[in-house]
Amino acid sequence: MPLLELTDVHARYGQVRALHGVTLTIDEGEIVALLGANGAGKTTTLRAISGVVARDGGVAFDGKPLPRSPEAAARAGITHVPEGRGILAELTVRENLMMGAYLRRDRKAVADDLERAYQELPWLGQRRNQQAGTLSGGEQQMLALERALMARPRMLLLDEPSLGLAPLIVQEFFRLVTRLNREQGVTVLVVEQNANVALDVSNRAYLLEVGRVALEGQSAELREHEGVRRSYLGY
Amino acid sequence: MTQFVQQVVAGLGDGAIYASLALALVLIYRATHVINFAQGEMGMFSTYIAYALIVHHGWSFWPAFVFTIFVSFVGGAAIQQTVIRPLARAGELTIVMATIALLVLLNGLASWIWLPDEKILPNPFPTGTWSIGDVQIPQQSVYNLVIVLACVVLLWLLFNFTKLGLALRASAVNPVASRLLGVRVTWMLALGWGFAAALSAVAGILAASAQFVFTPTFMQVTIIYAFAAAVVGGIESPLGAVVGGLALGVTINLLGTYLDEFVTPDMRLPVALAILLVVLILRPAGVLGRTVVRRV
Repeated sequence: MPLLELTDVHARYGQVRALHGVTLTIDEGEIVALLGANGAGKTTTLRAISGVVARDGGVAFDGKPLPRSPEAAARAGITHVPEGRGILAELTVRENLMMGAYLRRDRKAVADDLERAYQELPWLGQRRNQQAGTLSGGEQQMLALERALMARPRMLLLDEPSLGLAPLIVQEFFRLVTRLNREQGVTVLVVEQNANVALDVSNRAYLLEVGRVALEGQSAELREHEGVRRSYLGY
Repeated sequence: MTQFVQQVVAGLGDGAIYASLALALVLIYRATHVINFAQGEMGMFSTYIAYALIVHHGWSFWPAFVFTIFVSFVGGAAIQQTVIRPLARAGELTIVMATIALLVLLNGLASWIWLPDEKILPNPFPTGTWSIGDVQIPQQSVYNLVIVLACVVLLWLLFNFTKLGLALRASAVNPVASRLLGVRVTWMLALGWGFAAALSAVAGILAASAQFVFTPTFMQVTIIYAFAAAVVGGIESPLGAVVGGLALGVTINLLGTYLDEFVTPDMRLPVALAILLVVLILRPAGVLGRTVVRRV
């Protein structure tokens, strides 16, 4: 049974339809990439899953229908790191991390996870009382990831994490993502413009074109696919 | 010197009322990004509830005070859920218009239920003074100050040292991101309105006891002082609202005492607004308002 299953999902912004029936499945423990050009519906797919936009069609998580609201998605174990990272700019780094653990009741384990985050990224610990809005873009992206982990999610939705970041930081970011996936079994659905990076880190990928799945397959195979190579990898 | 100290204390007593109402405005501004023009009338309405409990139902003052604050909290949350929440999509200007409608509505409702004649709220505070040397400290001013500061400290503790407080601040800063973290933001907004209504209830009841008689319009000048205090302090700064309210109360009292030929009782409000203008010209974000530092 797949962990997440989308069946013929439609979504729209007001009168503008953005998804025309997306069907995809993600198994527990996978990293799946969602590729496509601007406006193909990648971000909207993530928003439809977490319930930020109105949607029709079936969304099942862990075998159960997923209610359409961000709060419900978070409660089900899905943490969506939105485009633009969703940092709480006026709160401190520490407060941002604590908000990641908002739904958890195990205070001691939360405190341990906070320490672990500080050990993983020592600069986070040093700047724990700094306003998160004063961090650089790359630092904010790392904070957003660590905050998402504070929720101990079963599934991470990452929206364009590489946007506007230096290549080295993108590498560091995805190194952390793959490690979490390996060590903690977190399932990941990542939307990326940077198809190269996305195909590197993912097991499988879906290619969206104008609100529909145009192609799917193992990431290694898609890398060799003629159309993908020409349109998205640029060689 | 004696007179100076007395006037400062009296000013703090008035200022405490402005501070409490200004803080209510700031809470709602931070959560909903609008000025709640009905804030004063919400306090007025709460005062009538306390009045009805005490005069018509024979409650003694303090139980009525506490119960009114509780009812106001629930009422404020209910207003957010029934009136403000459905308008969230319509935009901020629409919500501002709705608060103006609320202002008129609450005023009309109070006049209709309790009639617009002058009412007397029994004053629970001793009207005497404490003598420290030559200085006569008006007791009521001190009580006002203590009660308001106690409310402020309680709210400060809640907002800064509890998980709920963190979620309330997060919801104000970035509602969408907060929802994605599992926070039920509409409940947080309702709580914010609840706290604001409770604070304005405190302001209304203290103001009514201090001025002896009150009518349904008795908060309409106070709310203007509170606007001035909130804006001078920095409309997003809770500390600014409290400091602004107290400073405004003291300033107006001192001006009224030492420049009494110019700052007559009728001139106090224009002078307060003149101070507001000068501060805003010098510091557009308010004295304690900060321009948010943000990198993208």
